[in-house]
Amino acid sequence: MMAEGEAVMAQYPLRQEVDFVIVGSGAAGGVLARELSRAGFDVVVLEQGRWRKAQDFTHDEFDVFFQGEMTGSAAGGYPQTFRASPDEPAVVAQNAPPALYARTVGGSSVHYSANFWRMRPIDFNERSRLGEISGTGFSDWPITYEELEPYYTRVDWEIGVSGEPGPFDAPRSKPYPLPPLPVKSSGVLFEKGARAIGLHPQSAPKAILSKPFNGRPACMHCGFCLGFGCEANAKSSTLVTMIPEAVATGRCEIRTESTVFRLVTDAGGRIHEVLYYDSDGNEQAQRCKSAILAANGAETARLLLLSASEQFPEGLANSSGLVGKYLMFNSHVAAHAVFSEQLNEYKSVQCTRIALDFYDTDEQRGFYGGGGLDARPFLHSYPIFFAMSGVPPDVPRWGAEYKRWLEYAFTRNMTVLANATSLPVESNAVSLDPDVRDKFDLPALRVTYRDHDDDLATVAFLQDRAVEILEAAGAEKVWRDPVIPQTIGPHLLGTCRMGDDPAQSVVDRYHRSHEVPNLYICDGSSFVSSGRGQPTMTIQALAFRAAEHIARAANRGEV
Amino acid sequence: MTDKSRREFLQTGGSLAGAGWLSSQLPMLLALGQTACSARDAAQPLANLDAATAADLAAIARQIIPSGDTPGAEEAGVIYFMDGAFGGFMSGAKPFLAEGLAAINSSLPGSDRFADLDDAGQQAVLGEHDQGPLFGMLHFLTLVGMFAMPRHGGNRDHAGWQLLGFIHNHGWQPPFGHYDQDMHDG
Repeated sequence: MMAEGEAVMAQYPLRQEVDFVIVGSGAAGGVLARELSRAGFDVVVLEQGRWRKAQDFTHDEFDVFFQGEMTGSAAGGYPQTFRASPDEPAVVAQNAPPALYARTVGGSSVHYSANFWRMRPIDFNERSRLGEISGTGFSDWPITYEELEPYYTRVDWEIGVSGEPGPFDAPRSKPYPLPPLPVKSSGVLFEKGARAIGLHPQSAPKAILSKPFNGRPACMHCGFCLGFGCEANAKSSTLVTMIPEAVATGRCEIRTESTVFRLVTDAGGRIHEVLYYDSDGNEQAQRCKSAILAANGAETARLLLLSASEQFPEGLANSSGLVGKYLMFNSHVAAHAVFSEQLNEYKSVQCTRIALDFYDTDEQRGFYGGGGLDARPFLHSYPIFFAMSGVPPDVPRWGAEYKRWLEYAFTRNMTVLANATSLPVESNAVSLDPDVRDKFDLPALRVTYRDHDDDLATVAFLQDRAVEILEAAGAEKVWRDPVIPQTIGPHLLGTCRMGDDPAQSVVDRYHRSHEVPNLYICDGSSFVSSGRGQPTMTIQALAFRAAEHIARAANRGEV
Repeated sequence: MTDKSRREFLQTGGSLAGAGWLSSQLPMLLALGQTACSARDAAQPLANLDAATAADLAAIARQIIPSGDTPGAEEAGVIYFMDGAFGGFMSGAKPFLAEGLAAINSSLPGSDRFADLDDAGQQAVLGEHDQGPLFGMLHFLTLVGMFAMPRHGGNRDHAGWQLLGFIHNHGWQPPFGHYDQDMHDG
């Protein structure tokens, strides 16, 4: 499939002014590349990662998680710094990068778990429903669920999504293209426990094929979704859905190992060139009529800040001062359990059952927020991670008793994970580190983040429900992770928020920069509120919608 | 890296989704630009650790995952993983390792080293150090040597995976476990 695409891949000279340069080939960039090249435009996608394919993916937990094979690491030349508040010094993160994403063609859609929730109408207008929340940038989106619904449906059918309707679903114009994946033991137990406490569990929607679709095979349940690339091409990443179709148009070049570091504007304030380092570290410049940033909610903001100039001293497209701000990770916390019989959660996809009973904010609880619960192994399906952190507080960390726990519990454990809202807090931000530099001598990405107290209260509330579910399901033993502020986020949202008011947002409702007319920004950074977790489907729906508007504007000569 | 910053990061865990991932004292990045250690076969002598250090490390690994009815760190060849690690991605931590082991050994009577103590003696000494950064580092390396793919030098004959009941297959079909066995058609 990919080989056919490569055979016809366009190649554009640097000096040719292509219609669009797209920075990033991930969940959004892949969709934009495919849609715009199909619409007849010349497209160059600049992707900093390599073009890994199914045969390149492994089940090597050590390489993938501990050497940062796809995510990069400080040791590998991609340091990121972290601080919980602007008053603290930021330090280089020595574990996983705080803004966690995959550097590879297809971006994080390659290594994510493919949980694929739609947002609901309330996610777009919650500010109007609840009113102001002081100390936050809590706002409505400039678009509604109804406007986005056709694009959610396009995502379902264009990439291949498995699921079935749930009791609280927002209206959908077309059913899921594929039935849900087979339930796992964690799903059965979750369903039993959730029903016992009066909840309404449902199948988990996944961007993983339960049956063959568009020439790709069904999932073979190998169990290595989270963090890994799919060896079967059953995970509906843009690597195996959108990108081959973009390449097949003959108008889209995917230029890999190309790290963009500056967007250059002319005297009129329009982008005319995109500067990047090629695989040899040499500086290159691709000319373009317009640029689209889809580099994820961390790197998109960083690139705008790196593109500061005399004309744009605070960074490109940043007259609002909001580029990089209002970073949202979604809030999370887990509860764990062991059961008397084997679940073997190391097999198959992460998650087969969820409960969305607590999606809405309930003012009776005394704090803002809502979320969902899901049944999964999380990282405890992987041997090293399980041995590191799958141990309850009352079991020793070494010795014979520890070993007995490992032998007993690896096949018998499961987790219920709470996935919930993050309030947009201005000090939670992506910015340029003043001291630390990466392998290209560019200022490192600095993450400032502390979950809002309401976010912590929300996940604490959900964790109580998770414990009730696990106990009602008959667990032998249940234990909790501490409810503490997160220091790592794979959901990178809100840093170039969408809005009608140029003073309060970075892009308009069609993802065009308020300030630079031939700059579009579409990825997690466009989010105004966080949703309840699992943002990828919304990122892709936004990308389909944005592509339609961008193509229309370009055809009218308005880009 | 200064001692202070090393201590700080050894004691600071990240939290991804609050799941305790990279639990405290994970020393992932003493890495410092090195590549992963390579696999080595059973008969190969150690390439990077001297005999006394290797004996201490093997003894500590054996205390973390003891042998018994089922294989432990020794049978899984954890020491071979450690040897590769300290020649590769952990090479920046060799001085820290040497200082840490010296501190432990100098607290023992006479010329004893940790490896010379009997089982109870080793457990008592380790119990005094199991909250410290050296133990955290060696605990992590023991787990990686036990449970990572054998190509990294440990987990011989999948001894670690067998201990857990993890079977590394290319794929599976339902039922996956006890509780879903009656849930699937056909």
